Amino acid sequence: MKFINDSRVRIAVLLESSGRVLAQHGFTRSIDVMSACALAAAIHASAAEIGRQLDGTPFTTLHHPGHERQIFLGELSTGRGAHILLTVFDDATSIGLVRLYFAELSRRLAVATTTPAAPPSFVDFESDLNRNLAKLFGRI
Amino acid sequence: MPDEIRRLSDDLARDPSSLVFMPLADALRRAGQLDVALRVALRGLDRHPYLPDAHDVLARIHADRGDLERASDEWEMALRLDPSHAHANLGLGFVEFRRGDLESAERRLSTVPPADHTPGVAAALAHVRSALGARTTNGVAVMVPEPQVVAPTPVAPAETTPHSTVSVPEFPSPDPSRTKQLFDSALDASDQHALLVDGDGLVLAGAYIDGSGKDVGEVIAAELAGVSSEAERAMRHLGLGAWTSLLVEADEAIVAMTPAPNGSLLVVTASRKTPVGLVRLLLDRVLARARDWLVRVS
Amino acid sequence: MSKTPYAELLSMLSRHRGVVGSFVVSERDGLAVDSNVQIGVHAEAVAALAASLHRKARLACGAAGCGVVTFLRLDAEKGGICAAGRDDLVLVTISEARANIGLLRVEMMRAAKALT
Repeated sequence: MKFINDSRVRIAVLLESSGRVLAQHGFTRSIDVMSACALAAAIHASAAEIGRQLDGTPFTTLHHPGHERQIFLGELSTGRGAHILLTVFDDATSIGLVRLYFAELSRRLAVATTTPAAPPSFVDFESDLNRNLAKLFGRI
Repeated sequence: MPDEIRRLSDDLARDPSSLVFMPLADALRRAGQLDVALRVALRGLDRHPYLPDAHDVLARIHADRGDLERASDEWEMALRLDPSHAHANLGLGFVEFRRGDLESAERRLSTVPPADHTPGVAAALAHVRSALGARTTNGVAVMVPEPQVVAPTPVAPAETTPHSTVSVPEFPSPDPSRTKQLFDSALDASDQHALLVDGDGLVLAGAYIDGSGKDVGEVIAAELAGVSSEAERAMRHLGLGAWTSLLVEADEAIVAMTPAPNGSLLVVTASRKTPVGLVRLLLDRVLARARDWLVRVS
Repeated sequence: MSKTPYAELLSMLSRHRGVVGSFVVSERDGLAVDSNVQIGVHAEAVAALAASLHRKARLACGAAGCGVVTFLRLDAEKGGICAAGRDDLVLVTISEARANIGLLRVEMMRAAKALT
């Protein structure tokens, strides 16, 4: 919530690089979160691969400015593997502020997640995703 | 309330094209979930763009979010679709009242046919007339009643019938105290104004009379209060300590502000002719007056 | 890397007593177009926060009928921020409490007119 209050983004979704939802703010329907997570994970994987091929290292952040809304997608390195933060914002804030508070969130998350956890099994992915969505919305 | 929201939400999930999005959006608004309420209302309007009641619900959400411009647009849209829409007239009257335009508010509320009078319309009309009466009695320097920043609130839980989203604007009683003149003796000229504003951007004391003699203090206070939160955030992050003053020079005026006791904000404005250094002195002088006054009233 | 058109200007502002950083910032994006900062100054943060403050002040002054913002100064216990804008570009300085703000203000307002 601190990130959302400080950065004033409209939508934020924190997910694992596998696409598993960890937290969200701003979405009203589980289907929106599912689509957003699937797209975010795919975009992040593509950008990382392009970075590897062009620059030798993966690109970890991505920004698309639209006419009224913009998206910022960034990788957060934590003790439990890489997480992805997808944000949507408008002219109530700016990419500069979003990046600033993203960096702050990244530092806080790194400190808070020093104990590594086992990576999620792919077999459990579907049920895991649904369970998380159920938790977020109270129902599927 | 959560049960009602859950039930309405389930109804909408079963039939996304139903009109249940209106009571759902309104219930979410009343529960303070304004972002979600906005989303529900906008989605509903995508499917039903010509429903005046849907625009009315959206307008109240905007008003609760403090966006009176958009609220006004939506109520006007509702009126275009249904020129006799009592709640849209009520809402626009509320906006005019908030802006201190009591004459327009009175005119608008008077046009609502008696048959459509909800208790809200009658109460609102009485408040506006009372404020107008106070203004006539004491001249333009009488304080315009200080409303709370809340949109018209439904008197009954909204259900699926279009006019069940009946609302009553919360028009507060006029404040009889003469706090408008609190800083007059600390200011040097008629083109200088001072406002003491609370943490929500509402005027506590002082006034800002524009060229036409209208008090626009509330508008100024609401607009400028947001600047102070930006200042606070910037200083917190940059480690420069607490902010002590903010001075903005613009084409037409110089605006200076400083944090005041109890989380309030003091704003002083002066015409562009005023030397910048003098504005800072005025700010100090007015701050001393505000401190004394706050001690006395609290 | 070649110098931007603002390098001279920023260097001149940074030579003022107490000034620890000067920037040309895009108000819309909150990103520094160019900067001249001392070690330890968090340039990205200053750029983003000052741009946001300038934007908010500009919108509020416009709505309140005060006209176009020409100069802004935020004072705090240990220093402050000054900003002078032109269209989307804003000239920003961050300074310690000992800075001569009067002189800085005159130079910034003059320099802001040349921002393109």
